[in-house]
Amino acid sequence: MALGHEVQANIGRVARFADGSRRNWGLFFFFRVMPQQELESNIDQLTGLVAALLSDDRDAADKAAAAMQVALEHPAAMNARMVPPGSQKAVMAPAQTFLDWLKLLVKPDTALFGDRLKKLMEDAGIPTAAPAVANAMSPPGMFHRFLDDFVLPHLPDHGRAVENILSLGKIAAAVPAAVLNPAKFKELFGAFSEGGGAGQAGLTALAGGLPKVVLYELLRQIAPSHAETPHGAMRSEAAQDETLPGDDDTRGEGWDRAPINIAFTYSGLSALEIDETTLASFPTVFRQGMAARADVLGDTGPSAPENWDGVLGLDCVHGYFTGGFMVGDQNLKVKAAHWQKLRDDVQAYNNREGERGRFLRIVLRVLFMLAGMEILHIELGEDPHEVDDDGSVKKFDYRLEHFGFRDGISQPFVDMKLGDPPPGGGTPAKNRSWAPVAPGEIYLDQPDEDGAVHQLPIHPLLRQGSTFLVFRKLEQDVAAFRMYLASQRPGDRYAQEKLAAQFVGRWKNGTSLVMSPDEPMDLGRDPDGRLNNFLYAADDPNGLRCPLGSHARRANPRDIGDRDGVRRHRILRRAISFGGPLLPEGALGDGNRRGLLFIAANSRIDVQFELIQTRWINQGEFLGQAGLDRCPIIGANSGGPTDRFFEAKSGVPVTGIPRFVITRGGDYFFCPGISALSALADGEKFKVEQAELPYRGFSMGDSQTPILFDVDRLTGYADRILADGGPSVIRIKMPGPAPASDPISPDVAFIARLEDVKHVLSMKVDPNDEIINSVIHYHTAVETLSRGQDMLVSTERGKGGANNADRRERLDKILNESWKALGTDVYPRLRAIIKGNIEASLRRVGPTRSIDLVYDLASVTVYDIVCKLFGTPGPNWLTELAISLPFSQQHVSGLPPEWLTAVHFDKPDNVGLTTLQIWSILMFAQSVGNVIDQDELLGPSNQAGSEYLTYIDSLIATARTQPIDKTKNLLSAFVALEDPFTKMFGYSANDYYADVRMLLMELMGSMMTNIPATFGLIMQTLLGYNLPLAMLIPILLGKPQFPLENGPGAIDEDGIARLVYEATRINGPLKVLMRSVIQDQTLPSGGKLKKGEWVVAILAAASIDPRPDAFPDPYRFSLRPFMPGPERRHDNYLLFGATGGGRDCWGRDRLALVVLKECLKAAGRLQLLQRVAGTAGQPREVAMITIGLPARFTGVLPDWTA
Amino acid sequence: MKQAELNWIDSKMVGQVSEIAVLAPIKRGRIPGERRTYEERLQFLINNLQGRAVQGLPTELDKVLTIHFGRMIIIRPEQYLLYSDVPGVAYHDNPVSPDKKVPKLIDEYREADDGKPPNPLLRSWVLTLVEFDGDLRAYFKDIAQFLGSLFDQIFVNCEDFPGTSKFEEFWQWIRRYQVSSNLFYPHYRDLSVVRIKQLQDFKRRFDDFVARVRSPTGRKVERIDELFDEFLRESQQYGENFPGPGGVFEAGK
Repeated sequence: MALGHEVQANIGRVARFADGSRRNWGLFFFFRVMPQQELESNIDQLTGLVAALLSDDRDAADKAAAAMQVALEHPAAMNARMVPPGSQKAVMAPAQTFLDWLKLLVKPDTALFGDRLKKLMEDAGIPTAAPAVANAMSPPGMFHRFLDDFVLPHLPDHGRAVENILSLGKIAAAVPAAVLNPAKFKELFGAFSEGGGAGQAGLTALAGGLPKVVLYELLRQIAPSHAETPHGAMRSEAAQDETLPGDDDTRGEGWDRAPINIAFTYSGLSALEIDETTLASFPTVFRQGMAARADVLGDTGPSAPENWDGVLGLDCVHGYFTGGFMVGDQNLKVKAAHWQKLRDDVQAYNNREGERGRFLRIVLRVLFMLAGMEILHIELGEDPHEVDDDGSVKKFDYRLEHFGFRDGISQPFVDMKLGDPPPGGGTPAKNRSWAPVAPGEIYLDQPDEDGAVHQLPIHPLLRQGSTFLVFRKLEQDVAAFRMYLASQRPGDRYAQEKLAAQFVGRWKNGTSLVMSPDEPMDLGRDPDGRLNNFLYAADDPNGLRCPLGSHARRANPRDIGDRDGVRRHRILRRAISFGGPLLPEGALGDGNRRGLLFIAANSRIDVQFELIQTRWINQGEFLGQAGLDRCPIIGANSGGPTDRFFEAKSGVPVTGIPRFVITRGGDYFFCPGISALSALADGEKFKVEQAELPYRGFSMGDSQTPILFDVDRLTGYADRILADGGPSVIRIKMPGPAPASDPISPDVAFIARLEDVKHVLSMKVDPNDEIINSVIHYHTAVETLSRGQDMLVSTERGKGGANNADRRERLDKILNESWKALGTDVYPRLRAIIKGNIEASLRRVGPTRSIDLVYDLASVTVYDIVCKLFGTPGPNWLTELAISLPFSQQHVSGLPPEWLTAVHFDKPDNVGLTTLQIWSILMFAQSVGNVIDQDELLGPSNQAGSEYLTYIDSLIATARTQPIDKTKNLLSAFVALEDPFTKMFGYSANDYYADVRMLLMELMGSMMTNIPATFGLIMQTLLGYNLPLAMLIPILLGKPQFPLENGPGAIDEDGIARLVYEATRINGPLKVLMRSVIQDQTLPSGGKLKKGEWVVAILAAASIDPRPDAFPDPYRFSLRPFMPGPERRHDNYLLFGATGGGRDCWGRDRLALVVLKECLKAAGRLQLLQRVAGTAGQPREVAMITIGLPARFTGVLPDWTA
Repeated sequence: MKQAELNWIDSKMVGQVSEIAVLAPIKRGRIPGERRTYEERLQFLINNLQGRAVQGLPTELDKVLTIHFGRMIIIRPEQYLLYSDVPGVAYHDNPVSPDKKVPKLIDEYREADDGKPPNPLLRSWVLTLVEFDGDLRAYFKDIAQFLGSLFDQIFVNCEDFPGTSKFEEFWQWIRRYQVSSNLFYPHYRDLSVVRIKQLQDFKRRFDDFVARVRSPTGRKVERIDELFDEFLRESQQYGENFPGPGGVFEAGK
């Protein structure tokens, strides 16, 4: 089929409104595709509510409505479903209504979408003829009143939840009503146009702010189904020609048929469950996304992804679709205030600011829920304008950008057989003529400039009329631009204008410097197309008129470079500004942000957009030119001496150019052609048979060095073991050679069923008190790093194994008695320490709106507990390991001093904390974490152990000289109890303090390592699944609403603890634990373990064991009894090991849970807490243990009062 | 075919730049006392170096001032056995071209009693490719002197490796496993690493100088002669620390 019939309208050519005018504003809705499960769960809730209402059970209705309101406001809260760690398994099919909506957009027929909506409502017990639907429509103005009058103050009032939900139901009912009933549709539409035309309808929508704009957009999307048109709201360029501009008005329908676009991110295609192999055939840069390419693109410093707006750059964004329609007309002026209102609404929506933000969220949520989407973020594009004296919008004669320059002059003309190339609009050809750009440079099913045809993505239908879109939100610092010009050319307006023109390569009115270097020419309406009809190499080869480094010259070098010129590096720009009116002349700011929503289509992001951005914009050597530095306008400059620009004919550069344009977000999108969209809507997965794949899909990358504990292997074993009828033990032979004396040589038996894992980890002994499974390897490791000592974790009850039951009993007793000695106020003291730290941290980070969740909340808190409650602050010096480890060295003396200066090594804020942290991590990594017994860890961990113990000895020595006060802190309690314990155990003070020293090391180590790392994992899980903590915490602090059927357990009433357990179930700190098998045994599952082998419990798998006694519906994040969801038995959770075998974690209830819960509550006070895009958002780790997790938020809530 | 003895390969040298390619067999099986193979350890060490390079942390490699580029590639049996037909190797079916057999992945961690024949005796290899300034022997003298312990850590996972401390044995090991680069193409044949860094530094100093003495608006500095002399003194020759002993070319000195 011809290209024009496939390419989405607005992509190939500039979009136009109903009156034929060029589109001067647009909306970009960044959406997430809801999983079918989520939609069903919403419908289930609705069903419950409807049933309760029909049976007049007000109590039940209140409850159901309250739950529903939470779910509507925070979609993820109730419905989070997890993908098993490391698995690609799809457990989240996209909502069918999303696909139906897509279908409706492509093919105007309400049958499919309508039937589905009917069925959904019937499932929920609402007949489609029910009053809710009818009411929404009749009388026609009613619906509008709902939007206008929907009483905001009632939203927070859960006592009015039923009324709230009913109101929302009426809003939501508009969508099915408009789809199902043409007459109702017309009525509803009529309320917008009020008998006028498209301009009036648009104005009504705009005047109503975001809710009405969105409703009007939805109606516009549905409209083609009720009109007699073969083309949907999403149509091809060719179809757009058949839908003639202005035509609609003459029919008196009064609506704007301007088409909409849709495009998907890689995660979006993945959410639509496109075949994995086909997904793999998409280009690497698209799969990585823009945030991951930040360093390459020069998005650093203020432009770095960690500073981007909202969710832009995060993989929760599945795609965007556009909106925009004619507003007002020649006789119908539009107030600037209306646009301001829409801008304010969009901002409130994005930031969830105040009650307005909350209201907008919930209204858009219900409107789009039935289309299977959640709108995560909105961008509003507007051509810059001026405001007239009467407050109405005054348009400029031509399009400007916010620095005041004429924009959008030059575009590569792509031949779609829909017209001829304008001068300058293609590739320079002979005799100053212009050849159209080969369509394959933009579209994936066409020959490119070399006549080559694309072969990827691998499925041909996906290429038909498709292209890749680059979206970048670029903020323009107009004030900085003006100030820089003024600083370089003080007091001389002409000189400032001229320097700006040199930067841009054109004068403000668009005249190229090639044509007129000294002053702008007035070309009027430019009837001859002279604005764009010039060449560089031919007309101005040495940049004597237009500087070599100017923006226009480097962004589109025309005829420069005869080898690999502009021909292969084209982008089709579809940008639109944002921010509304121009900053008034001479002003240095008005508090508003302005800039450009840069949108460009190209067929190869890497060769086209990225090459232009990296080499032409941000490097000075290309196409035979050298020394061009960076683009003065959009380059990654930072105000330094090398950030410079040479004006034409000048041998001396202006320097110190700052960054005038700051990236505020962006991503790469795939924009499918109409046929591909249609197939997507039909649920096509675009699978390609192996025989059709290049080289049958094989590649050299298939082979990899086998590793025993890699995630793929563990996941594979777990899948088999968890399957019904699968083996319950998978036994692996170690590769040879196998010396008999090597303790590592025996087989490794993997287990993963929860009952088996609990059995093995419980460390129960046999009736003769003989050990069955042993932690002898912990004992060996701890003994090595402590020169012959043991910790609790490396001791075990019973005979055999490590044979240190006596020591275990002794350590236990000393610890318990000393803790008791601290007195009954130990918990209030603990809480006061935690609170004090958390409040201080929140006050400190609050104004910065960014936080390292792990360090700022957990690490500083546990360190303060170690200091104050344990009495064991870290040293006032930094362990050299902190400096040498990043260089994989054990000692600083091994490092050349210049290495440290080269990496700008900074002394940490708190050397005591950092030192304890490094020691603790190394100690645990070796004693518990080193499941492969790798040798490299031994040196650093032994050094850490030795420094640690020496330091603790010095603390003990000091404490022994202090007056006895057993309640002061744990260390002083140990000292105070020296006498009774030496007597009790009949050993010397030296032996006693050897025990104390190990206890302290273990306690301090667990605090410094495990708690922050676990909190990091919890937060990664919650942020990853978009679980709104700020919303969850009050629910979890409240009364449980959904009783457990199997009776209460210890943590039933503790909602926050539930959250800790459930989050770590999905993403736990330890993926495996190992034991040495001392006795032959049969596992509860029937599997057998053999004496002498090693058993490895795959905790990550046992935590998703779907068996009825384990975790049924395992991928469901369940907070029952506080939220609906499957029941979880608390003794199934493995966070603190298995319970009941006398090996219960000592610090669990005393310390760990207390700290974790408070940290979670603190994180819940951070409004709009979210991940940070790009590499800066990755957790920081030492020896694979999390010590940092950056996040952003918009404000700090007061402390919870429950 | 006759096979000569000590048929060692000579490095190719173009201008002042040389290459070396060493293809060394990795030890088979598991390291005693550890749950990993020699190949895993080798990969771990290489990954660690790569990680530091990506993060911009200096590595031991910086200490050898003559290295332009270096690469290490682990080559697995599944890769070199592509389109082979070796008894004992399991292959994917290929109904279309039966002579183009693709080996199935070979797992060192076999399930006990899986009833399948033992893995064929095949090895992985590590291919090390370096482009450097000057002569091969001088290069390896540098390696032994500045890089010894890292080099030993890495290549101890290969067969026959004698260690760098005994230079003659080390030299023979290198020659034993050196392979011929059929093509060696340097884009700049006369520029050493240090020279490139010096030119870069010179340009930076020059730009600084221009910014000090000239303004785009035409303002000029009066002491230009003095400043020019100062610039010349500073930018012509460097007496020390270019680079320092750790191999870092410090900017701004």
